[in-house]
Amino acid sequence: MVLECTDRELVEGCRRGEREAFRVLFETYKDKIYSIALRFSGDQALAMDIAQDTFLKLYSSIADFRGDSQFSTWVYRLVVNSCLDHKRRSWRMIPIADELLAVMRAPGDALNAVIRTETSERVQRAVEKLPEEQRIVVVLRYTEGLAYEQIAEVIGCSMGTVASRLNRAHRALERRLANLKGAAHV
Amino acid sequence: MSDWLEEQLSQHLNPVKAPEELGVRLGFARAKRHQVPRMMVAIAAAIVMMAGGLAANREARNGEAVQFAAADQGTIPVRLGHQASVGAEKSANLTSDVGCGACHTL
Repeated sequence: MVLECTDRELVEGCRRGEREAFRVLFETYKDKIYSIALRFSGDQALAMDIAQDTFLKLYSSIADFRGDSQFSTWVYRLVVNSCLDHKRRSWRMIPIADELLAVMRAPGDALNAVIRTETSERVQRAVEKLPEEQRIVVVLRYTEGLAYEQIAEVIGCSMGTVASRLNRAHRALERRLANLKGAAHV
Repeated sequence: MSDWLEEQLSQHLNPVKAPEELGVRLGFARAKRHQVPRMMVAIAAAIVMMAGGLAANREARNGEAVQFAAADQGTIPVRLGHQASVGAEKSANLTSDVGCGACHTL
């Protein structure tokens, strides 16, 4: 039984083939991995596939983890690679009529919830339109709250490159979401 | 970058919980079985029993009606005792819906 393990102990447990170590590793990282996959792809089914692939890669290559970096950084690297490996869906069905009807029918708090959902979807869609190298930086920064230095380590570039990609992403997002400014009090 | 954008991104790109299906896919969780509430099972059982009772009752009434109608018209002889010797030779057209169907009718 593996309880309150550090990442190092978990990795050792997985290397020995202990099922409980795999399970604890899964419980520890499932939300992080799925969140990155979902925010990057904007699609729940695709995010599930990406998360599943990431865990399979993680379990099959855990013996290769040398400990040069933090284990979490290594996991982030795996999920980023899985995200970039998956082709983005070429189209998404946007149920505009449904959304419009929902807004018209929703009173009070429900209306605020609809507006909030709508804003979330617009932000998500704006992020999806970013080039992949900018998008992954935005997701690691805002979904996982990683520092520039950690992002640089995960994607294997300099901190200057991270700052530059974030800056370009911010400008693009500011342009695309300008119509939400002042309109959405969410 | 404006504070507004920073706030929007932090708010709308927040982390989410992984669905349970991910655990199922990777073999760490069992798929949830569709649970039928016990009350529903009890109600369904009661309905089946009532339906069975009604059907049996209807069948018994139909049997009585046929018997009385046949006896009134004299088409079917009413035999109350066993006639083992003729039971085997009885042809199908002599059997009625009532009785044991082999050797006697009621």
